[in-house]
Amino acid sequence: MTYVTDTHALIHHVTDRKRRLGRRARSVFDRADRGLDTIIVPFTVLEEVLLLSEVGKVLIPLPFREFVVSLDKADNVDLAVNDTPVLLEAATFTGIRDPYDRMIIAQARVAGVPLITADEKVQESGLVRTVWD
Amino acid sequence: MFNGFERLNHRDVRSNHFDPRNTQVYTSSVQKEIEMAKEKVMTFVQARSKLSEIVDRVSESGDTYVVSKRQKPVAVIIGIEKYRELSGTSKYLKNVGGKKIFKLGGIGKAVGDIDEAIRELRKSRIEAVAKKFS
Repeated sequence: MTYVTDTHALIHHVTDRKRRLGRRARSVFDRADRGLDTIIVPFTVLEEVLLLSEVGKVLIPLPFREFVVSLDKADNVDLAVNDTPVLLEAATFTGIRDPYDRMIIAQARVAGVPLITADEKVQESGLVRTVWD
Repeated sequence: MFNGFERLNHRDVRSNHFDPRNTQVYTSSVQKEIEMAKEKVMTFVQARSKLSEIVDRVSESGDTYVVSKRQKPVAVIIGIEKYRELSGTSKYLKNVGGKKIFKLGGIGKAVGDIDEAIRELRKSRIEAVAKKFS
């Protein structure tokens, strides 16, 4: 199965903070690492990983460029861009004020897959199926 | 420091044609060398005699060296990171059942509260936009 990931979820997995992940979120990432599920990483999420790595909040053991190139080559990860359909989808709902959350939600809606997130506002919005606990 | 290396422009490399008119003798300092072209051409004999230095340069500064034989470029020496970029053979990609798998779990480290860091990042970006238009 395929899932879209929110930024915090991906970083908790990448940095091995498994206790910060919900049970189902942990299971999805573990399955993806075995090639059984696919994780869509929105452009917005990757951009935030870049900025957090630049300020030293997230340490990844390879240059960011190689990290992205490797993700792009991987079969268990899909990199998604912020294109016109995503923007137009984000324009259809205004209940979520955070513009970055809106783009991530829109990405999941366009892909038609659940979003891995602990964000209660997103979970309760009904805008997208979510996976966490 | 490398002296006497000829520099080949990108058009020559793509066309696999070595044109002496487009080369120049390179005799400047290491720093100037870094600031200038990242791709240099040298003969096989030069490359062999400077191999140790070349390996250091391609791995540390990302330079590319084109090796020529009989005035034609025949091989390239590049750093392992650049090679992995070009070939898609990252050491983090494992072949599992015919699929290229990037096992992401635990490859990195977090410093401090990531949830708070993401909140702060988004807040600062939103405030920067609001300030620009206020």
